[in-house]
Amino acid sequence: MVLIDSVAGDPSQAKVRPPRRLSRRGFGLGLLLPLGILILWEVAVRASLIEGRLMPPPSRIATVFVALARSGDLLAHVAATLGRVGIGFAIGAMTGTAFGALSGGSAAIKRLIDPTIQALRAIPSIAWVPLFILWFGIFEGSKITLIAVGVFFPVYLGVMAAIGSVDRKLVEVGRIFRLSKLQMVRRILLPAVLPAWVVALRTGLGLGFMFVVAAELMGASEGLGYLLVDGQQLGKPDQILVALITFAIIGQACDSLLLAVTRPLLVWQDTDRRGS
Amino acid sequence: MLTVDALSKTYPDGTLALSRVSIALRTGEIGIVLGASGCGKTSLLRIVAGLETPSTGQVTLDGQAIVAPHEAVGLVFQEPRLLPWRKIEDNIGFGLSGVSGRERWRRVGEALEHVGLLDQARRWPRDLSGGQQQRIALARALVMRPKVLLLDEPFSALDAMTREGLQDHLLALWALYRPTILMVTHDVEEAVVLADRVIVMQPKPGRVFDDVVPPDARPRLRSSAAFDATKRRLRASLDRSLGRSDEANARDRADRAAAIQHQGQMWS
Repeated sequence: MVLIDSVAGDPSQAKVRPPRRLSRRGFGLGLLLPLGILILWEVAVRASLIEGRLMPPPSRIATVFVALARSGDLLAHVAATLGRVGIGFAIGAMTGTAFGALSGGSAAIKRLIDPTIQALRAIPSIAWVPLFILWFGIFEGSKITLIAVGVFFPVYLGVMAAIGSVDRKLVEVGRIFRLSKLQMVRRILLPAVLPAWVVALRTGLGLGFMFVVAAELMGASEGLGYLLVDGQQLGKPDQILVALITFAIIGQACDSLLLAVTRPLLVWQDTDRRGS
Repeated sequence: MLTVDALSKTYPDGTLALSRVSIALRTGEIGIVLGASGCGKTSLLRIVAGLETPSTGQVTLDGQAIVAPHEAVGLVFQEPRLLPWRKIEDNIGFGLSGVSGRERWRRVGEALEHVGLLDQARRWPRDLSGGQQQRIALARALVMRPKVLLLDEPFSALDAMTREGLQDHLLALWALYRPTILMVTHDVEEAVVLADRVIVMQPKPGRVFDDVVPPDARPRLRSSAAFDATKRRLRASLDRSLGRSDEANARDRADRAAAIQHQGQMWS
């Protein structure tokens, strides 16, 4: 195609890509602080400045981590937690998006459902636990419902606000080109709300991990939350710390995965790439 | 022929923006609506575009009433309003979704060539300057081959050099596509450069005050005596539309000249 050929090899196009060397250096800088803390921690325990029984050194935590990983226990716990978060997040994100789109797209529907949803949002999600256990039992149903409720509210609010704040001037461009309602949604509204939707999903995912801990603390036989309770009851702080570190790793990994999946849809954003 | 017939517009808060405005433009004519802020220029254009409904009166194109956005009417807004998530070529082809792929890209390429930005086809709107973005907005409207092109102060946010360049560019594009143009502006010089006819509007409520046909043919040299004479004629009409007397205007100009001289003495 002529249009593509005309700019092929344009050196100025390269300017928009983030410099790889800089991002590696940024990654290295990000590791500096945690590595420093780990070294200080190890030295402090070995020099008996900190009680090692309650605050096991990094080397001890690493040994327990490797042992749990080799036995396959850690993978089983991670899989159980990820399964719950995955299903709960999917349900919460889908319903939050659907209700948010309805509220944001129609003033009448917003007047109908938003006051009720806002009232439900005011109830601390953990307070639902007893009722969910009564309704859905102590097994997976109640846990997944709790996570879905936690994910629902930020996604609902994010989508509703994003639709409400779509630039009216861009909607007028659609009107001038005589787009139908469906075309207006597909060609103007959806792309316009996409960045805010991704932010809402990331917030929802973070809350999903928060609520899976609560769900697994309320009675589970596997999962990272169970590992935490087990470590507390058996006096194994190293196991608790392994569970916490694993939470940090899989939480960060899931957030990065979500960003990677949505990045191709948001390349047009005019953001400051030095900070990303 | 584009006809605006006894158009009035009252907004829900009771503001009377337009009062019995009538304008008729022949096919291919360039009509410039000139007026101070608040004289209803943009309201008039939005009604002609079909974005707003008049309280009374009607707009017709070749005898057909325009009551909603129409395929034969293109609009360029005050700001480019490019869709940030579409590359330049996709922005230009935005309205061509019903056209087959090959024909679509041929027309987009042609439009890009006409606005001199063929090498920017695969870029994002964020990568372009304000003047380039406004040229893309022009191309996006013209690629639809509209019979009528409406322009709402499209160059007002640009610097003087870019503005002059784009005015010449608009005339070149008009010569290629020959649409009927209705453009609003508050810039007298812009009106003289572009117009076949200048319709001067009076504010509160907005109504037609004067209809001026520049005596000389385009292209008009900005440095010529005829250009200056038309400018003076339009300025005087604009002043009268605002209820300002010739003596008061002469006093204002003398005050401004004295202030400039005073500033010059302070800096020297």
